Amino acid sequence: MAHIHLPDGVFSLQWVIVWWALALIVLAVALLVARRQTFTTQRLTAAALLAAISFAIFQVNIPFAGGVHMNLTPLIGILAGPAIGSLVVLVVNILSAAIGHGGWGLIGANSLVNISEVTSAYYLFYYATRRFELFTRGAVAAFGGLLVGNVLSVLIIVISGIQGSTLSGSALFVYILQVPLLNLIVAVGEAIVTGFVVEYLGRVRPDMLALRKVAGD
Amino acid sequence: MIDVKWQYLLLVAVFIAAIALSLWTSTRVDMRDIEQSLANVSEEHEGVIEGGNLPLYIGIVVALFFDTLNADVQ
Repeated sequence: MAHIHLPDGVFSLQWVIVWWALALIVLAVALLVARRQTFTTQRLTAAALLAAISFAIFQVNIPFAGGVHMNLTPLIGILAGPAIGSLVVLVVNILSAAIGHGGWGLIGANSLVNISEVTSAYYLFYYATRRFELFTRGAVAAFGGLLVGNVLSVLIIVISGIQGSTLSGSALFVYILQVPLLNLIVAVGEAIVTGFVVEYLGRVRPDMLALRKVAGD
Repeated sequence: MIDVKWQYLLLVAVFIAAIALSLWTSTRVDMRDIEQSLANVSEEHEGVIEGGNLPLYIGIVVALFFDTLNADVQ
């Protein structure tokens, strides 16, 4: 899903630094929040497994419109929370860049995109949709989170501009807008997968979905 | 609590609309072409941030993260 698959050199150095700096600030906040939370070994293990699963699913190419992939970042948000989930997506993006899946310079931008998915899915799941049944909550959180990530990735590309390209500003926005539209089909698949996983965990391991006690749950 | 039947019907409607929009878009554009044209970097700019020690710096930052996290495990 939302992941900027551009190599190093596409963004100018100044924008690479800007997105990296923003990502590091957000990650620093995530670290500070994580330090205040009770951090059980079980949760650390779940975060590590989520990183492994997400990295694996990143590399599974779905042959649609030139190749897309799932992220499972909304599931990371639901199970690990925004603080630990932000660190998980950083690790996934670093490992992905190490095998040529996105440039090194784009780890900052991609981390911001994935953190937006993790965070928005978390809040959609635990707050906005708590009146719904678990499958619906998981599916809506995943679909909504991925939409947020897609919008952010388009904004990052449009704001940064493409070095050596004649497209910029609104022309680049219209041109690049096609990518999130194509990604919608994967968002639906990922939403259904997330819905089933969340519903299953709700039945067999409800404690994994109890990061935050919400009235009515 | 909204009835589960209506929840699922609404989800199905939204998902079918999203799939239809995506498939319609795919008939009009080629994402590979989009990515190639965006990644068509001139020689002047190619690999502009390569050659530094960025991977090393990232490794150090990650090691520090894990070190911090590890210290907090109960």
